[in-house]
Amino acid sequence: MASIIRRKDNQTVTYYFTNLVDIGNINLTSTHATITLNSGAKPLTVGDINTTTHEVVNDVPAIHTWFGGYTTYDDTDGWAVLTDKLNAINSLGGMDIKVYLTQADYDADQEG
Amino acid sequence: MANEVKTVNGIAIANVKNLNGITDANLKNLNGEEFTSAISYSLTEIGSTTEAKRIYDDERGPGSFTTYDSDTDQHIHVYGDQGNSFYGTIDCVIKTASTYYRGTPYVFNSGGTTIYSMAIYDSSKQRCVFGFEAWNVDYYEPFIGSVNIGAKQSSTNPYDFASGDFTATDSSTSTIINGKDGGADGTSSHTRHFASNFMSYNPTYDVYMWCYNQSGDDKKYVRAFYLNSNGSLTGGTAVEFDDYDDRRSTPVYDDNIDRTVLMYNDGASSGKIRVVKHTGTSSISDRVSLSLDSEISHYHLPSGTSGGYEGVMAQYYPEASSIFHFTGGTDADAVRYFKLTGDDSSGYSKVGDSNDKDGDEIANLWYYLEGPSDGAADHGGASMHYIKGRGRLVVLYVDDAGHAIDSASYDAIARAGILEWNATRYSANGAQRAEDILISYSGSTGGGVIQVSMSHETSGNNDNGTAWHTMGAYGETNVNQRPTGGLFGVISMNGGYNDQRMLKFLEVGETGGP
Repeated sequence: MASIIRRKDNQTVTYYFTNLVDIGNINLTSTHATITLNSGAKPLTVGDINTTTHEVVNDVPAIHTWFGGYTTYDDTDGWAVLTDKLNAINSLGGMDIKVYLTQADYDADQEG
Repeated sequence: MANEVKTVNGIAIANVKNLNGITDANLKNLNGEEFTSAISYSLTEIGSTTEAKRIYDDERGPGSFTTYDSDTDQHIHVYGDQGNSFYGTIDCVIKTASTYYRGTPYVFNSGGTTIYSMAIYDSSKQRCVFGFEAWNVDYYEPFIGSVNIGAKQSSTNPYDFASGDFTATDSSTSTIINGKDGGADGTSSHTRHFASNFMSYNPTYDVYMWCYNQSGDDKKYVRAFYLNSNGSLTGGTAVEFDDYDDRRSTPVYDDNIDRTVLMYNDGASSGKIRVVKHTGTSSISDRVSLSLDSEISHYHLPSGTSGGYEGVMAQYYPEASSIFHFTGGTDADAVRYFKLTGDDSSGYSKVGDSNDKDGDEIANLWYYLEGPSDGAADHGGASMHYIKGRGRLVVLYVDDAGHAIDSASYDAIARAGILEWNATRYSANGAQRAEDILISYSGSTGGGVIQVSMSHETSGNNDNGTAWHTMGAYGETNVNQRPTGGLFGVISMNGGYNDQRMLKFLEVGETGGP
């Protein structure tokens, strides 16, 4: 299972953490968020995330490959990839952003 | 510090080594006049090849740029952090003579993939203005903001940003705004920047000048922003200056005519320059109100630089009263310079006679620098940086196949040459050539060329990456006095270990050379 920070207005997942592995502490305040990670990873302060705009959701199913801004998570329908957006940015070149919900999605892309 | 003493009893300052037993480094003033000794060239590596500090960050940082805060003596580094979904990120950095200390990264934009960041510290208003291009709903769009920089926490612990640094001082309103002028065009399309070239400061009108390109209607715009005392920004009406779809356009402040000069591509192989005029200085509205002088034919800016992550393509060189810039089809393979003359009423034109400055090329420069040729597969980009207080300009390029080392797949290298305007040559009616202007020119290829990238043994080899993006490189050259000591900068690896790699600290000096 994983934890996410999700936009309230459109359910876009801004941050994704695998429970008990990545997270040191997520502190979402009215003005910003501070995220402390395990394994010596650099801590972060995020200025445009707060309790008005975002929410932390715990115990969501883990996915294969995540990248910020290109998935949504709905409490009922679960994960979805923002395919049009992903294709649009990758079509410009230079970024090569990958998102796979499952191992099967990843395998299919590798074979394709 | 300015050196107000030019000679002592007719002896040039550079030749005075001591005065009544006091060495030049210890002499601070002379009969009340400020005195600084001549600063010599030096190049400093950070530790050894296994020193982790050579890696600024272990992920790519597209669109990185560095500026210097002379008030708190810290560098400000902005970038899109690949290790954090390419979110727009800013760090404070303390640099010493041989190492640096990095503050906690602060994410200023997690709303979308962020690239092409720039930052300029304004020492008079004690605030840093930064711009970036980020994915916004369906397209890339340009944003601008300002941020407060706090004091160091200690000599080894930089300032860590807080959310209040990005809001107006008299409210909780964010200073970051979408920089696109909605009134300029109604199309929905990408509005894009020219990597490390889209913003410059105009001290005559105290405004930040911006260029952007709308791919939906092929139009390029220039827009001015004024930094208010509370940290908010007031943007003027964007003015269209071209109708060719190419995001290569850059505003360069020309101190000789006190105006911003637009340089841009208006075709697949042609370029133009154009002077921007302002209504006046009596109000903010006048400062940001723009009009255009006539187009002047010029040279094409490189438009296919590796990955689209171009370095700084043009810089004003005060000692030459000219703008220096790269030219090329795909990649930089030459440096040219031009001088403008005129006024708002009668118009502006290039100074063009046998004494040059009408777009002449620095002859043989790329050959002696051993830079990759235009369109070469191993051309990794180029960047130029004028160094205030030194009268010299750094020309830097990346050769993606420059090393012959133990790991052939990881052999990218960044090299640089230092240029110094040769006034004698110019006075004698001659064009500048590599042999006149390249510091430590030896008559052989590679003479005066410095390796500014640092090797790092990530996995037992000298793992230098398969390619690097130059982008801001040594970026701290726009508004402020530069710091004492070497320039700070990074380049971003694109292939291999994909990190942000420190460049060597480069003190171009007033005297001496490689």
